[in-house]
Amino acid sequence: MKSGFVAALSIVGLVVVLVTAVLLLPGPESAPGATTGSSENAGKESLAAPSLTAIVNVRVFDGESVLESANVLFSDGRISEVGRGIGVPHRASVIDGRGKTLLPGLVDSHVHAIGTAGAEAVEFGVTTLLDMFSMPVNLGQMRDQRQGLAPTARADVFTAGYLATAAGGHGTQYGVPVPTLSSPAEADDWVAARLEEGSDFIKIVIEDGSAFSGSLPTLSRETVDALVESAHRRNTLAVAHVSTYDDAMMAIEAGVDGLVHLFADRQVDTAFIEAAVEAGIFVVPTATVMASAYGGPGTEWLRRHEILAGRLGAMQRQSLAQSFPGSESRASMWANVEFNIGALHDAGIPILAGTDAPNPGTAQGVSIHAELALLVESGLDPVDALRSATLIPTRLFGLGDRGCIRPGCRADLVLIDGNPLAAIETSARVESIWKNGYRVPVQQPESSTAQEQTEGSKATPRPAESVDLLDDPTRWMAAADDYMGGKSSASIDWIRLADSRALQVRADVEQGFAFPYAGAMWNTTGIPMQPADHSGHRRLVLEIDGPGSDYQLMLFSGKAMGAQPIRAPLPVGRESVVEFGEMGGLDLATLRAIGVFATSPSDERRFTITRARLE
Amino acid sequence: MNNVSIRTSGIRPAALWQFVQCQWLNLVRMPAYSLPTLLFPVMFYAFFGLVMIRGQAHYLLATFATFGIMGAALFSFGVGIATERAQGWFTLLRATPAPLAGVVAGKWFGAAIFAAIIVVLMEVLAAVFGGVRMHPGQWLGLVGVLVAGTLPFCLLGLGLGLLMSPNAAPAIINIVYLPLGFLSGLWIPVSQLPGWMQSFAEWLPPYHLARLALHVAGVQPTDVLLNVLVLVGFSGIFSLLVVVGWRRTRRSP
Repeated sequence: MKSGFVAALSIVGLVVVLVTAVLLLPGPESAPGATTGSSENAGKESLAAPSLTAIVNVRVFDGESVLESANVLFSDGRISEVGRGIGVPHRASVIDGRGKTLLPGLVDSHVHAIGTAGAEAVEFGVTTLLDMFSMPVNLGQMRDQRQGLAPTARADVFTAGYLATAAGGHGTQYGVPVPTLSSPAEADDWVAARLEEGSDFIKIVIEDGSAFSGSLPTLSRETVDALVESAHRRNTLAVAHVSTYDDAMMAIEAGVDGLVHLFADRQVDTAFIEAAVEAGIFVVPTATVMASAYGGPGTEWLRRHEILAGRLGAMQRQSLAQSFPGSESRASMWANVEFNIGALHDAGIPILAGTDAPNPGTAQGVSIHAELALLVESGLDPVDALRSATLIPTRLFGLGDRGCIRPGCRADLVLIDGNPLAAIETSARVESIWKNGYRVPVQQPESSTAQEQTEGSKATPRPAESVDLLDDPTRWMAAADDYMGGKSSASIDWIRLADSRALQVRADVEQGFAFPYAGAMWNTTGIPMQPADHSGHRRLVLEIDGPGSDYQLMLFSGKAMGAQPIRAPLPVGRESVVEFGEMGGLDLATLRAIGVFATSPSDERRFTITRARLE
Repeated sequence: MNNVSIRTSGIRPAALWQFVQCQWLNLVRMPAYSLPTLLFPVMFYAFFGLVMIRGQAHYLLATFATFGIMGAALFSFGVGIATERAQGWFTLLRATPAPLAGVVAGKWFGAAIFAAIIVVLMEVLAAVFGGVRMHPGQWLGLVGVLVAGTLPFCLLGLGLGLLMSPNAAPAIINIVYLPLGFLSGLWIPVSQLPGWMQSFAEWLPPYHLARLALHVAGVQPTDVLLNVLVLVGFSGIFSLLVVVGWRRTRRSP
């Protein structure tokens, strides 16, 4: 009997240990982490039911126009009264809105709602996300959440689910198995399958890669026609991804309801504007991601923002700081983006604010403020920019009780410290957010400045002695564009030479990303891309050996992580000396990393870095 | 073992508990068997799922964990039973009124415990080194799905263990185990396999269990009912194998 007792006890003990271990595993909200999952539901929602709240003496933008010095009352997730001189019951908790502006919770009309997107977005005032492609997981729950008024700290999501693309086309490169189309005959079943899964609208990819000097299989005009026809027959919106003028024209001719990117290859002309007006389309220009792809304005102001910086997680900060490789080489095209937005807006085409977060140069939620600023820069009035993130998407996508501040509207509210109608960048001064009437807890601004300071002070000075970069293997890592969605890959290995060691890089550069690369990177600290002070060093001595002559040196430096690297070609088979004094734009005080990359598509190859020394 | 209760009919909870307890002691007292069995799949995940293939920790957690529990189930049953037959333990058991179901339940308990430990260890690695983040329900759900998912593989292992000679068992089970895992896309997603190989997957039980694991982990949605039905179907087929094997051992152990 005794041994039975011991066995029982130890079995129970083991089960307890296992369950405890599982319960201690980190949930989706614990930062930082690779957020590859896509369940946007469940969670800790045991939030207190909101009681009656009154925001008084506040400037209200109700989605359409402005009301000065009004009172707004809401309870149980809905707005009950709005107006000047509205009585405030005693039981209400009162918030003084003097000097502040109350906006409807913002709508980001182009995101990919993967991982914890909903929770990230809401902290920056975005309470509704229009997802333009993610894997359709738990769409039923997603729908339940957004239909209900339960208090939550997550943005609601409407989704396209899978996107319509050709086999091997844009959208298939992310490792998500996308059901593709090869003929118009498949279109109707494809659309039916999406609606069955719970898609709210249909997204069609028209992308031959030419805008990024590549080549991709894409849907035929006939297939696009059939998809649009099928979606419309089922009373569903069909929107299109395009990157060029010609593809946009084709989408309009096929009858899509809207374009979810704008193109930069050309300026719109009368023919285009007439066609767009005639067809009654809307446009989500995604200026934020276009800026990241076409050398537009950066996001540094948001990363250093007095109020928002402290709410950025490490991953968001990093993503925001990135840009698409080669962005600066296309910078001449950025003017087209701004011109096109302004021209379409002037012609009366509805413009919707969308960011394409979390692509490089964007992050969930915070980027809506960059988008609003870029729209105003392109010629919209601040009030039009705010409509583009509230009223207009609500109407065009049928979002119901959102994007408005009127009795009966959902209590998704954002209180801004200041007046974004006077200066649009003020929209980023997000003081408080209510989702379904629940006040979302956010990081207070004090700590944000503290975080900025720590980030700045991480640059530790180093003595200016020569450093053999090959001494410390932990600083090296393989790097390739697969990280950005390309097909190249790299790995590294150490090999012994007679009296030293060398880094052997296996690089497989594949066309698949606009600017393919594969190689190795040396990080100045043990943490990738963390800056360190190397101002004592004068030159870099490098020697590499391998097939081809397409090797590039990239020096990453600067206060902003996303600053473009300084590039230089690297000769093969002989020592090259890179004098830092001759490299304009290099900031040795914040040197982040040194990269050696093969850049032309070719079969898998091996090259070695036999010498790498800072002197 | 001298306190194994002798019952004349039916399966009593006490008898089941005796088998569970015996199996437990078996595992605790033979770390030379238990530890490698537990650590092999976990190391496999650490090397290939975390170190070699970067950025796919979440997907590979689900598939490698499926691979891990499949091994635990096949080996503890297949090799275990075959060995016990060779040792005459089965002849002895048959001389007692011990029910077949009790023997199986005890063994299944061992496989389930192994499966749970393997999945939890992999989850800890995935969370700490792979940056994987899931809801508590998903972490638990993955363990639950895979523990329950040992059933068809336990039956397959049992059937093979009863039918095969003890010497052949480990080799044959390896020959079943590795290709089954590979073709089901447990190491490399099925979509990355050569075209002609892809068509095998849906006919194999681990593929369907992995689909369920991926679904629970929020990686990839699936038609849950279909996968469950297929696994139940396979369990039925493997049960037949067990019955045939059991009849045969009754004639010649």
